[in-house]
Amino acid sequence: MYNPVDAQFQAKAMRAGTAAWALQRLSGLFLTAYLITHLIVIGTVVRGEGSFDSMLSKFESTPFLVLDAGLVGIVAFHGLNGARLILLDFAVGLRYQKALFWASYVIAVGVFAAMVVAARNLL
Amino acid sequence: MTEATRIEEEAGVTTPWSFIGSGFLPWLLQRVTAIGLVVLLPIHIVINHLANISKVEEGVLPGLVVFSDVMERFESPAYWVVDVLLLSFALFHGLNGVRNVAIDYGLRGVGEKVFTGALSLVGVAAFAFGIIALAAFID
Repeated sequence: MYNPVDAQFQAKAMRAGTAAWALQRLSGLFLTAYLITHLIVIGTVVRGEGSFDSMLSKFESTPFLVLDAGLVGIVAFHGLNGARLILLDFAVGLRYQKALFWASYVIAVGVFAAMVVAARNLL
Repeated sequence: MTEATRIEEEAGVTTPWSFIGSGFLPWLLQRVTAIGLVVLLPIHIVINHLANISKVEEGVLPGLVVFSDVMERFESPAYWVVDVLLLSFALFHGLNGVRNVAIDYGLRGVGEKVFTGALSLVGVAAFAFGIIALAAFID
């Protein structure tokens, strides 16, 4: 059966607009899954201060701090590209939609790097 | 859909209540919550995480996120406002996004209503759980 969603992925060369669409969707689904995980982790507080502090201290290791930096990078991409989508809704910047996608992507990678630098003494 | 509403719809008749069920409200709320999150999330990340890095390095705090530190912050009602808004906006935005994906893949009719209902239940339950967790930080 023809599915327009699959067809977007099957195009011979993925164009910037399609890449932006796919990345927005993947990052959105990832962030929703993260949100639920985040609530469960923070929710350990209902079992008291000790449970909360011992749970949160587990995430203060190098691999988790790098993952945290990646998370902030993904949030930055989703937010910046989302702002681009709102502009496109109002037909603002249509001519620059590709450039705006690449700007979102490059800035998000920069945010990730900045987060790693910010936490470097703890890594 | 009744015959009357079908004829009205085909004729492009709009009423003040036409927006209900038209998909306009979820579309609008997705954008309103998006703008809210763009403002609130940086505040949340900077206050809860980035600001604490220097405090850990200076030995003021034993860890990046510790109960006593969060509890101190919640003495100010402004953090309550930020966190309750974040909780509701993020849950709506995320779950409505999942609904959008399902609709893109062709979910319609009864299936769509059941899925929307299920996501709403998840949202309400997660919101209640989030409030209970936040309240645990209050003395």
